[in-house]
Amino acid sequence: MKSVRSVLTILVFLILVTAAAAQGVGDFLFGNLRAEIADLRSQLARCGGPPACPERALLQAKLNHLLKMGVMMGEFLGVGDPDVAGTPPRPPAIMPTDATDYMSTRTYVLEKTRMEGPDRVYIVSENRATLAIIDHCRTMKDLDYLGTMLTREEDAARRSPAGRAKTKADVVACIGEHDPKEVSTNRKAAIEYCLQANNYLTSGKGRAPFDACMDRHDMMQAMCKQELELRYEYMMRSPGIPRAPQTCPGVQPNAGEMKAILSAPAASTMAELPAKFLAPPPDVSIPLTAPPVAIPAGTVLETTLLFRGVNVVSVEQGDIPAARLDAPLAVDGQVILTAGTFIFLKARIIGPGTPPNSVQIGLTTTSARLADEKRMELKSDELVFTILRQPPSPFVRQPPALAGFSAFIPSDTKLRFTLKP
Amino acid sequence: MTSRIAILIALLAISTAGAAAPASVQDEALRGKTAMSVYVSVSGNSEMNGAEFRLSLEQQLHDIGITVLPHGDPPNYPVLNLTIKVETREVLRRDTPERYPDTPTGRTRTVTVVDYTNKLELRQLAPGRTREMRPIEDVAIWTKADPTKTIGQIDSWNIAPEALDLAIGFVKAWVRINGPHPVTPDRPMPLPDPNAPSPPSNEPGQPLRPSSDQVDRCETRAGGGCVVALSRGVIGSVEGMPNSQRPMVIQQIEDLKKRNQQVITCEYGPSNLQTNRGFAVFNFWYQSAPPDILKLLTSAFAHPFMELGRVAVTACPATRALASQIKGSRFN
Repeated sequence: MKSVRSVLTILVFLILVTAAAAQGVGDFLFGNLRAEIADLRSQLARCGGPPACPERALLQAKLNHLLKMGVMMGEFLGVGDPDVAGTPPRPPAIMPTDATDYMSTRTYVLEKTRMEGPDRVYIVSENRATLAIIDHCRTMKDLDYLGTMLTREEDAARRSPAGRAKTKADVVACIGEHDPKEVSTNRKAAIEYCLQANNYLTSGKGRAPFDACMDRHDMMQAMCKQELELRYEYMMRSPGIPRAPQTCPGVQPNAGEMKAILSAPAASTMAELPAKFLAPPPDVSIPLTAPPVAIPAGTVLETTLLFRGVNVVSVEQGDIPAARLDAPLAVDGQVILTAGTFIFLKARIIGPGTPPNSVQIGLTTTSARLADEKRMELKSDELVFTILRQPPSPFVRQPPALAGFSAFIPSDTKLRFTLKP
Repeated sequence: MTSRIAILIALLAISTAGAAAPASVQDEALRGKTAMSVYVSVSGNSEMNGAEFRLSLEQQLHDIGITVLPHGDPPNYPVLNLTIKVETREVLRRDTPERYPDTPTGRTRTVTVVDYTNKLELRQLAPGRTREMRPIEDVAIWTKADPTKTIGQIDSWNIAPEALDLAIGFVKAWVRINGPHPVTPDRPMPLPDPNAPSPPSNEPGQPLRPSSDQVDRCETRAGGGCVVALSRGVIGSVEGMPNSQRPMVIQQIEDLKKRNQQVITCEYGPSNLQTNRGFAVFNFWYQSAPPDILKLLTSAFAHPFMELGRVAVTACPATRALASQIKGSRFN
């Protein structure tokens, strides 16, 4: 496999450099292989075996080897088996008659979209819109993918026959609330409206205004945002902590689409999305549990900052930092929290720091995640860090006052909190 | 002009005669060689499966009327030995200045190239010529080899077909010398003794697992394992097959199901008694492999039956180490 990878590295290099502009990529990469396969097929067709053509088994072995190599190379490049000549015709997709069988509908629609060619973001076909709706409704209503974020009771209820029936009914109802034609029409209108008003290629303001506009007017972006918010809600599950806003990847039209969008008739206004697309996720917070025994004030928590650390942007965006407990928390010999427990933190900008271009960030603990997704309140003193608002420029000499300051509190920073009553 | 043509024809005749003479002398050594064992050695390339080439060679020898001798220790002579040796290395290559006008001497870059050598020999035992070799040594009585070639990695898919071309040369030479012979049958592998002593292994002689969800749910317990009808769950993947061959392989599976072909699943462990973890599952053809197993295995490469090979068992091997040994020699 290693040498296939190196071969393919060269292949990819060759594709990029040579570009093979006039030639299809498949022909360029697999042309010789395909020709050899075709030649062997033709030899085998003429070779009836001994005595006239004794070497038939070895011709078959040669063909087998070339077919196998084609599959290996095609799989690595994500283009599938390049031996298209040998591909049996796919059976035609059949639309299921049962309207509640959304998985079969999905398979059918997926097959249809494959025939439509590569994804387009401007003109979204009704099949692609249907696929997006089914996937959205499954994400919102069938919570199987949340796995350990569900409590034991929730998981058991979901798995029961009644739970399964409810999930299916909820997904079907959700699909029924969305109209693929409407989603498709909305995408075209939203992208024309947002791009014409916020052409990020010429406005000099970057993508942010265009993305924000799409978030407000595009149904598919809104559905994506709702999915992220639901997932985030289940990840947090702690009451009283403000949730960070969730952002989906921006819509990225290609050059041809940009041209078509910008030359479409201008739309001066566009209505906001219906309320169902902007509805917040359900509150799935679990009430905080009290510790089994009172934790004395002044108890020290030794923790390590997790994820990507903390910087000004992450605090302003409302990201929830987290830490890992380094040593067990025990009271009178009774272990309350084991080492490794996930601790939710709260970050706030206190104000400007003493050095220029710096800010003070405060970190406190809010809760600990217990087994079965329960949360235990954990209030601590505030640790104060001074960090730079922006990373220092590598081209400008730093004033001595900024020496030793960084633009972020890095992950793996040791945080020593003292608990409050 | 005429004399030049005459000289050319003469030279051509001499060179043709010179080339043909040793080949025919060599081919004479194949006369009467109607039984041999087959060995294939592939080094330096993990995409080529030596077992697949060996099985194809064995099928080919059967087709032309050669009896294929089983692998033995020492090998059963004569031995038809195909060697494919591949080495990958990096070389510095200087691009022409025309390509990069900004660097008058041209740019140097590292390029990966592949050196390979293919060789096919028929070796047999002969009286030893030195004291150390007495009483016997093995000598090549027929050899066909390509000179070492260097190619770009992009072309390495063609190494094996060139090696198989050597084998085609052998087949044609053998048929030319020996004439047509009736096809020889592929004899089934002997059934291994499931209670043979456990071989030395770093997998301790773990016994069969007496009970587990899988074991307890089994409908047909036999020979210490679970006997099931052939299904896609007990063989290799069909999904990774070439598109053009997948329907044929699926049909082969369906046909064998209809013929009530069975597989036995043997579960061993635990390897860690403290944690009660570390189980190993082995699947074997039960009682007998399909009678045309060699044809099936050589009908496509990466065939899902390669997982089971040609070996069948009448009961689960007594220990994991023995099961592992039998699995390891499933093509022999």
